[in-house]
Amino acid sequence: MMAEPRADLAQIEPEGGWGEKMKLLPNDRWRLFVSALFDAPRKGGLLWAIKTAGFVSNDASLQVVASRMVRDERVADAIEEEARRRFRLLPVFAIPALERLIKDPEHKDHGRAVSMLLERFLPVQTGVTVTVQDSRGPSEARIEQVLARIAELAARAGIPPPVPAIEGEVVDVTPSAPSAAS
Amino acid sequence: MSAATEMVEMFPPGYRHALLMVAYAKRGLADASIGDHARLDILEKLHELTDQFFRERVLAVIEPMGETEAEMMEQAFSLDPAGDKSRRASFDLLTGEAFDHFVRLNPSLLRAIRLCGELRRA
Repeated sequence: MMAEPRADLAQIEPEGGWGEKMKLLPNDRWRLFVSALFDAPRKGGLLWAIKTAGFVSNDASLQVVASRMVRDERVADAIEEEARRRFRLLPVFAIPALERLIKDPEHKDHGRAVSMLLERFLPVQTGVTVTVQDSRGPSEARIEQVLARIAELAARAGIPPPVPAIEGEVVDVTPSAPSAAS
Repeated sequence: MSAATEMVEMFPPGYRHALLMVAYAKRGLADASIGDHARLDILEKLHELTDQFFRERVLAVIEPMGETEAEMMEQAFSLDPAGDKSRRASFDLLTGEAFDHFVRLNPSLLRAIRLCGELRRA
């Protein structure tokens, strides 16, 4: 059975007034329509919402008008805004319901509710430790500095510096012996 | 290039490092203040260095480092970044350009190199 439509704007308008998107709608009947969509029954919800908003005509016409209205960008924006506003209010209803659920061990969803609560408030903590190691060797300048210090220590101990190796091509300049033929 | 220089040049870097570490460790062993556990630990590590090429006889001919060489070692170790267990930087320096200085300061290193060659040929 379809719920009775209502058209009391004063009862559904939020205490702080409508949001920006709701205000952009053409009139209060449109705003009421958007608001009513959230309370509408699953079956015949559009028709119920448009009647609730105070639109009057036969059902077929109202159905067409409602279908057009929900496709209107302004209505879509207003629905999104209203959904966000209502979502913020949900904990007021959700928390007592959850409390009842976790206090009732016989309830079929009791275990799931407890598990969900624990996961949310006492989550299993996983940590990743990243160790960054600088594998760069010392700079050329630092190596040169240490080498110089080592050479200095060796020299102080009376050890002459090693003779550096000379790289090059060896050329034999010994005059060749005169051949027997000449 | 003299025969001795050539022998040193041909000596593998890993064994060059072992020679230096043995001389350095022996200096540590000569320190009277070192504890028994540390002494035993050093001796065990020294013997772990031996193999078919670097034999115990070679280990025996190496004389402890003097103060100058020890300071040179410390200088080389200062190149190793903190926490770098590979000690790659000091290894490269000690077995490379600095090695000649150690051989000149501690002639027992050259004797050890020569003995390695003789034992291998025997």
